[in-house]
Amino acid sequence: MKTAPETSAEKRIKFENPPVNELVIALFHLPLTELKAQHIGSYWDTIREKYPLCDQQPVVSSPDPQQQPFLEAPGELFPLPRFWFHNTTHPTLIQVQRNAFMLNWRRSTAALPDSQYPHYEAVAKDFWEELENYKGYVQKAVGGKLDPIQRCELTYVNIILPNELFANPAELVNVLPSIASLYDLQREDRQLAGIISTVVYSVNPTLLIDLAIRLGRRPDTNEPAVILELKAHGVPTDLSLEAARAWYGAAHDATYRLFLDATAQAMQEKIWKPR
Amino acid sequence: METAITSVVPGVFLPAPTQAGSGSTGAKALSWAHFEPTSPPQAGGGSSGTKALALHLLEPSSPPRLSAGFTLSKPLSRLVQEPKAHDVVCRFLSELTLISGGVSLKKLSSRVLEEWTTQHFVTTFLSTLTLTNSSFTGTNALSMKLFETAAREVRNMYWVSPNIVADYSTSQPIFDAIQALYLTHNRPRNRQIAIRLTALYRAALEEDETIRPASVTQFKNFFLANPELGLPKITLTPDGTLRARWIQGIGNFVAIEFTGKPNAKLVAEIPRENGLTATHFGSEPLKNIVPVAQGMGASFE
Repeated sequence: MKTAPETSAEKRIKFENPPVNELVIALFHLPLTELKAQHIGSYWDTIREKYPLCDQQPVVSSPDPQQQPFLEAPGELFPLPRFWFHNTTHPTLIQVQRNAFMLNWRRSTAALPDSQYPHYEAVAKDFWEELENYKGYVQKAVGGKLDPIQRCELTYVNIILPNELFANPAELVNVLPSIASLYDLQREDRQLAGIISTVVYSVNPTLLIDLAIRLGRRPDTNEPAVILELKAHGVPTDLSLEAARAWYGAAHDATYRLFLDATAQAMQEKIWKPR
Repeated sequence: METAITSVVPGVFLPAPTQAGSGSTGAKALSWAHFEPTSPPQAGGGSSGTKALALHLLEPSSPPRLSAGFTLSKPLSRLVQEPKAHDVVCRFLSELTLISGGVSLKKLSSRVLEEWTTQHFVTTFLSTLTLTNSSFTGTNALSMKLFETAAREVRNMYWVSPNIVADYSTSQPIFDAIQALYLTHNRPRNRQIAIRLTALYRAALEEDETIRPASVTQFKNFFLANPELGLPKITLTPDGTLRARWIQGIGNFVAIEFTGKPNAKLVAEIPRENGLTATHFGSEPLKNIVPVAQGMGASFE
């Protein structure tokens, strides 16, 4: 087993061309029963200049089937959906639902096909600023608060497309050497075509990381592609927002180390290129 | 209700994957207990697993979406909480398909084909529900479209996180209790209890103490079952159990200590005639404790 040295922000390798396609910082909190559809509209007004678009989405629930956070709110005809607030000029998107606040950074949207990844620190800063605004709104509009926290998540969705080290599924070993070796049962008459799997690591009692791998082909270009998703999830120790801040820091650190351990050094150096 | 996908980018949909629900022939083994699926199963069709597993696979945790184009007799949100929602959807769809099959009966030469069509329709519908209602928090549609693997061979698998729910042994029951109390409709008392419980939990952490999860759960269940009782003073005992005290005055109180075991501890001092005070120490099954204490003259106001 490898040791897990602390990795300060200064010592972390930052890649020039990281495969991050999406970064999600999600915070699940006590459901705000007083929060109704009309409040969502007035919250939107507070961020509309930056996020002029709004969509409704199905609600995201806790992965624990025992958790049913969405009780029918009194005076409500339909359950409150999840809302997306986004725009065509900025790669971030806010998601709000009765018991969660999330911020996504997206590399590729229709209007912005290839945004430069600003790295975790910048996205986290956006998250906390927007969360502070949302918290203030919730307090003012419905007298509610986001504390206690139920669950935190930090999710990296990485996409690895063909490059000089990875041209076909058989070369997965050049991307994820240790993982690919588990699936290396290829013969002349049997080629690896796809993988869907997840590995879960426990970092400490309050932090787990799901490492999910998908190998397949893009239907549009028929190119092979790997999706590598690292999702850290857990509960801040005392269920407070302050503890959540520390939790995200630890989650980022652990996720970063797992990413380095899971991916091939050659890939890191030749394709993603350390700064 | 989605289960956990927070990413939103189109095309990269890596639904936190993995447990191939279909095709399992295993019994309800340890792995299943540990890898309890989190997302609504995506079409359990084809599973030859145990009944329990099959039920699990087919049980959608998501409500049918309104866009499905039919009217449900109950509020949608209520359906979400009722396990029968799946039955309702299946029955509805089966009937729908059977009607459809009836119309085209002449074209269908095989009953088997007809049955398959029904099942397939239901399965497809549930798959659609699942695909749109997952726990993926991302936004990128690419995720949904990227893989022909996912679109073809793996279609009958359902995408779930292994859901090894962390053993947040203390915080999770605390949060559950706080949430259950906090969400009780029209019960300001329960919200006050939830706030107190939060404060106690944090104080305990600061002092390196713990609250017994079984005590928390028992405490929560007691107050949810007894909405008429007044707001007590709530403290944490050195044993890590919660204690609630209803104090009327000097020599006049009743206290319950939530041991987490079937019997809770009961302590009461009750004024009697001529300035005397009756003192009671004992234990009672929790469900009897209020009437027993009231029978002795204790007040829970």
